[in-house]
Amino acid sequence: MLAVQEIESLIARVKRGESSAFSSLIRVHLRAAYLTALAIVGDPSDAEDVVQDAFVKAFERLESCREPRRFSGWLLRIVRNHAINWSKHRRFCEIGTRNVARVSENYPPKIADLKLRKRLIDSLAHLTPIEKEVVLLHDLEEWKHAEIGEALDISELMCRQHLFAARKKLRAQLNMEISQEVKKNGK
Amino acid sequence: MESNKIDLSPLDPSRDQERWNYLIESVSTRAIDARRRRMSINFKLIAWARPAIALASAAAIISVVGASLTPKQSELERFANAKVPRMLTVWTTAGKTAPAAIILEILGGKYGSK
Repeated sequence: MLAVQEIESLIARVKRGESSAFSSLIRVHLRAAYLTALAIVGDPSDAEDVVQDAFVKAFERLESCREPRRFSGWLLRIVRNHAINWSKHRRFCEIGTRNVARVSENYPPKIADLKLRKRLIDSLAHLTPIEKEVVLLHDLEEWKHAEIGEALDISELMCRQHLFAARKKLRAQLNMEISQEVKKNGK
Repeated sequence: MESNKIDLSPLDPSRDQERWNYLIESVSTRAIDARRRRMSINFKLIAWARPAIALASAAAIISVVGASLTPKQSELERFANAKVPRMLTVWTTAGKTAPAAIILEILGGKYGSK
């Protein structure tokens, strides 16, 4: 995570139209935004589409970000709302990326990753949306509890509780899957 | 309270660097284009707004100037224009009140006569 002053400076440069500042700001926040979208839509390719649309929306209305120091939280709220709307209306929603090739069409994911990824995604499905966001932002994006709390508008204590619950459920789910595989292979 | 981290790295989208960079470029290009379109629409709206605001300001100034140049009527003239009977006007502007019967007579009828 960049320092607050660096983020504020990047935002100011984006508002002035500096193209390089767009890429820098996106690079810093894209993974957290992707993980937030993944927590809600549950599919990596869909999460990529959702996050692209959400970023476009965010940059169009950058002036409505009143506190640049809270840009991450503001951005994740846009991603979250967009992902929720997308999930509700997935059959009818005209995703902007339909006019643009999906990333997965140009760069299909490597096969070795798919099985492991599917196992984790199936396990994550047993968590609540906020547990998913917390565990992904903490364990994968390595955000601190204070940062997650501010972005998700929850206390640090709640963040720790959600993380504990998430890890417990994930472990139980993954252990169950492993036992089932062992039984299946043992037959 | 916290148990050990679970290895979620298979979900990390940046593990495939080439793919990740492609996603960043794709998002950047779309975001830059969208923002430029939005800014140009706003610019056009502002360009139209300026003459509209100028016209509205001119109309407001003309109204204020016109109102200030219109001579003020005296109280008597105002009452006369409102067709209030002259006797009532004289009493009223002098700060007096006429008896009710006289007011009624002036206004056009012998009210209260039994």
